Amino acid sequence: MFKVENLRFAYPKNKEETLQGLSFEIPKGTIFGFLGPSGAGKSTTQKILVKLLDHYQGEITYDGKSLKSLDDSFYEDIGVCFEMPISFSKLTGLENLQFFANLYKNQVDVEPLLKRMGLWDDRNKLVSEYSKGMKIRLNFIRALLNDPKMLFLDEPTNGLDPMNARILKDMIKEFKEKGGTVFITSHIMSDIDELCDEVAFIANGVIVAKDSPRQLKIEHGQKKVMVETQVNHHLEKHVFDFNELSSPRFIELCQSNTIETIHSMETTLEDIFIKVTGVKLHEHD
Amino acid sequence: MNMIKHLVKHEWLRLIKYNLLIASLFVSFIWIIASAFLTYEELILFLPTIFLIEATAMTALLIGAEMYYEKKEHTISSMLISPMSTLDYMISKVIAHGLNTLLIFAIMIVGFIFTFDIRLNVFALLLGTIFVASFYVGLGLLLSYFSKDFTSLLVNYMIMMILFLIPSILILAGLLPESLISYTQYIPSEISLRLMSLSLGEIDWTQAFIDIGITLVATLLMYRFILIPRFKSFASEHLGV
Repeated sequence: MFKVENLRFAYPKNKEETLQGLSFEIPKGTIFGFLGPSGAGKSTTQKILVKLLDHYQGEITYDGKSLKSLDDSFYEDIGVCFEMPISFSKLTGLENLQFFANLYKNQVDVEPLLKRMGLWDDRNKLVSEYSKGMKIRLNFIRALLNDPKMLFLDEPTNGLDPMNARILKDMIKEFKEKGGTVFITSHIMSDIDELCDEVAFIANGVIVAKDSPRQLKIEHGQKKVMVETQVNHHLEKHVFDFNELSSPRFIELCQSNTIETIHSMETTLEDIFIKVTGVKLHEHD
Repeated sequence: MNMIKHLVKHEWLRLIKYNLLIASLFVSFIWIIASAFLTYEELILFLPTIFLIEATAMTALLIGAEMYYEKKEHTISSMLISPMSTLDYMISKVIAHGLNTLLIFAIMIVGFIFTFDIRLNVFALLLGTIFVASFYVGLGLLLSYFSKDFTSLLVNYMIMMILFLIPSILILAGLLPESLISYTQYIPSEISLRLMSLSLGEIDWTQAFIDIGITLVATLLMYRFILIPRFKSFASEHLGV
């Protein structure tokens, strides 16, 4: 769907390049996660992909055509969900959606979307009366108004309660199942882990790691198992390599009836993020 | 064309919902009430200035207020990632605000007809308003590009007006040769005043065509070389996509 080759970009007032030769591909029907600390170049990359910035070097193709050669009809194909609330506060939720829907040739029926996102009963309320979570849900519906082939989602579940976050993630999965492609950024690593087929970590304008979440966890994790036991009100931790799982020591422990938990010591995407970008998650918010 | 129709319709909806139309109607009623304290001759004398203020300051400030909301609520960014072109956006602003100015003029004229039996050349008023409002919509957009908030937009507008007056002031103060006085008739505020005076009294069509030509060229240059090329960077500024 998208192919990015040696993408370089520098803002006019900056001496240094914000993007220093990014290359990646987003195949059709996949969910691609793009992660990195602030200032790493995520937003710049997204702005370039949605044609908000055009003075870049390198080659970007969308459906085999150069992105630079595409006119405004390109926007008929994509939906963008911004992190911050984007709506006319003195118009109702429905008036907002009707306005944005009429900017496109292809329009979906908003009723099922509003019902699914739990906003149908509040459709005639002014957006200024909406809570933050309601505004975020409205943003997501706005991104789907033109029945896009590709979605760009920026922190889509940020600020949502667990139930609505679940609905939204299910809708993203259904979008993918119908053949849609998704480019997503999020600081919620469990969302990325759950949704993405491939993840790229960007730091200082360079992609420092790129693979499926599973492969990244295997590559960066430890092939070990940790067993916690309770003996005489005392918690003990025992660590075994995978090749020790048939050892008498491990079998004996399993038969001892003192085991409380067993964990594989695979790493998390959060640990990988910290390792490859050198930044802790909370530092870039 | 459908896109522009939709955008103009929505501009009007927002002018109403954000109380901007009410604000401009309120100003027009103040003018009507104030006219009751004037003689017919005084009104004829002040009317071009009233039209000028409505078509210039009010237009630029209304568009500035609207842009302020669009930026604050990030809706301008959301429009940017739609098939709407920058030209569609600009044309819809010119049409919506031009119509708004004409509506205000229509209300004021009806009001003045009630207070005095005033006679106007409606075609000339329409002609002047279209060109002056188009230029000042552009100026309002330009000011919002460079203003952080609505207060700074007001300050920038005042600075711009003072800059327009500086040549005349320097000549009056003897700091510039008096021979340059004839050139001051081509500063935007002077041209706009003449265009807004077309509806009252006899029309000097040669001067009118020169004024329309200058305004048209200035408007097109401003949109072509400043407003349209800078729109994307202005609208996507602070956008954390």
